[in-house]
Amino acid sequence: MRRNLLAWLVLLALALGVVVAGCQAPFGPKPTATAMPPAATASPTQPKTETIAILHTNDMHGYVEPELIRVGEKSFESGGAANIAGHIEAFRKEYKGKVLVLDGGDTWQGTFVSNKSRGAAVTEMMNISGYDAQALGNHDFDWGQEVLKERAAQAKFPFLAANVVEESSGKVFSGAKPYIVKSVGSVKVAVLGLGYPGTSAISKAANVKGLKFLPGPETAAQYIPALRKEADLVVVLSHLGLGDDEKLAASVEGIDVIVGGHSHTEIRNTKRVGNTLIVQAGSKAKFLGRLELVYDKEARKITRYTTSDELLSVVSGKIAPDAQVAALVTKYVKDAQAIMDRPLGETLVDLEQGYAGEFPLGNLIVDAMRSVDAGYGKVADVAMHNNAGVRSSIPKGPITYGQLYKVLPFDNVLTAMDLTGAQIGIILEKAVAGRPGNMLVSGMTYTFDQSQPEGARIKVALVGGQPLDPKRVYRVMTIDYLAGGGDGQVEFKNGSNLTYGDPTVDVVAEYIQRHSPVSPKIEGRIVGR
Amino acid sequence: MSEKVKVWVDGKEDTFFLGLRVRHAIGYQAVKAVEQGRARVQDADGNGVDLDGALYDGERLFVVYSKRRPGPVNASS
Ligand SMILES: [Zn+2]
Repeated sequence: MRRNLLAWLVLLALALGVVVAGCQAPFGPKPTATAMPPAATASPTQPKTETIAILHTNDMHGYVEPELIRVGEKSFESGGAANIAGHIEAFRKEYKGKVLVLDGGDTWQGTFVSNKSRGAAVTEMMNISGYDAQALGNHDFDWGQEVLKERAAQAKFPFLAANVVEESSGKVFSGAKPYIVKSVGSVKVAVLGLGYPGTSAISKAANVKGLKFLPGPETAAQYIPALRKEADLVVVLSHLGLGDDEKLAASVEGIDVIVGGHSHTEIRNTKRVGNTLIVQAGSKAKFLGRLELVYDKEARKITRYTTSDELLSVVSGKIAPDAQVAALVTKYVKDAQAIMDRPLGETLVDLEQGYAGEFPLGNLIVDAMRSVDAGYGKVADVAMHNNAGVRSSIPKGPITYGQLYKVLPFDNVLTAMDLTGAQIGIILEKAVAGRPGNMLVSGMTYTFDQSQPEGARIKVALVGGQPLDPKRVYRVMTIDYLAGGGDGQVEFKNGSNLTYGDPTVDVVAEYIQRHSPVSPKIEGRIVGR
Repeated sequence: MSEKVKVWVDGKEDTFFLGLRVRHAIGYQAVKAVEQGRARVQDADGNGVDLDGALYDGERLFVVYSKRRPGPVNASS
């Protein structure tokens, strides 16, 4: 989510390749176009054709700031909103304005720069770039529906989500439209938007309250016959993910192009399923997709399209970054620094990182995790976080958000699930199989003996002071990393009724603000030998 | 919608909760290798996939390690 310092190395390496490519042509390699069979009556030289381009991004996740890449004495920028804007502008000129600029959603959430303004920074920059539409991704609901509607009011382009409907009326969510029809040159293009159908299952319940996220194919099948009559081309702007985009193309007739998102897939060679072309431009504003289409107005079909090199690495150099957007990025980056410096409160004790077993900072983290709603309007019975995920210490005194972010740098989100006592027992056994206690707990205690054979090392486990009941179902608050089986804790993958919450670091930050000054202690939650 | 998705990582079938990402499927060591530029993640068509890409049912992921150390990711692939 937020930029990892290690990623710099990757980008440096990436840049070396990009410099070479950038020297060959301003936009990278010229795309290969191929005829769309059957095209018996059409040829690209006939005058009755119109050439247009769909320019597209997706899953920008707030990455408006470019990476500075140094190669020897020289440096250049990779990614970022100003370079995207510069490239869009260049293509607009190349195609004489006959472009459609689309974004596949998950646009705002993910960097301090964007989060600080709750996405307003990104929308402002997309306005300057002249986007025509944006699909609504699951993360676009992360700050709730009111913030989303504020973004909709700010945007000079519509948000599209035909399958996101209000439960009460069945009408499309009021922060979005189902589709647009736009003339691109002499070609009338319909763009139907589809949000992620699983959004309710993977978002905080409060953020999607009163909304239904319908399956993509069902919704597309309702709209497409009419759109086909109204427009020359039908584009679906989708946040379904590549797998479901392929299923959509295979199951619903009449879609010319799917511009996708959600799976963060870098589709360099345009994918074709039946008569539908599928494109997606990776993520985090590193690429701009450019799908050139030659439309035959007599035959009423696409006769040629970009087949390879559909994605362009967005780097500064021959195409200058947009100066207006670059100035905005500079301003917002400066504002974002305030997030790191934000005081949260004070600790009366040193909060040291602990490699194994119980330690005060660890207790503070799991207590914070167990203080928030675990999915049924109640807190969890138990909270669990791996020791290995706590990465820094905070000295006695004032605490800033930046210090806490170093403690919890992985951008994990709270994840609650049902586990039986037997499953919790398996997790605890795994936690003492290596280091002496790699599982911080709140709401429970456990004792262990590492001299015993594997599987028999947990001696006593109590939840709320009562013995852990193997058959009872407990609500457990943990993090997405462990829910995915991280640290070898695969039993979490067998949990049920999973719900997601806020980023762990933000939950702990709020807890510190509410309880400052804090002075967590060792309380005998984990006792072992 | 199913609460879980079936994904193959380097040919091995695994199951994950809906909403989890590529970084959760490939394991901590592979994530580190990708972040350090020693590896990249690809799908069945050879497309690059970001660590924060949402997993989808039927997805086939491959962690491809670079031969060079420290290995840059190939910009053209
Ligand atoms: Zn998404």
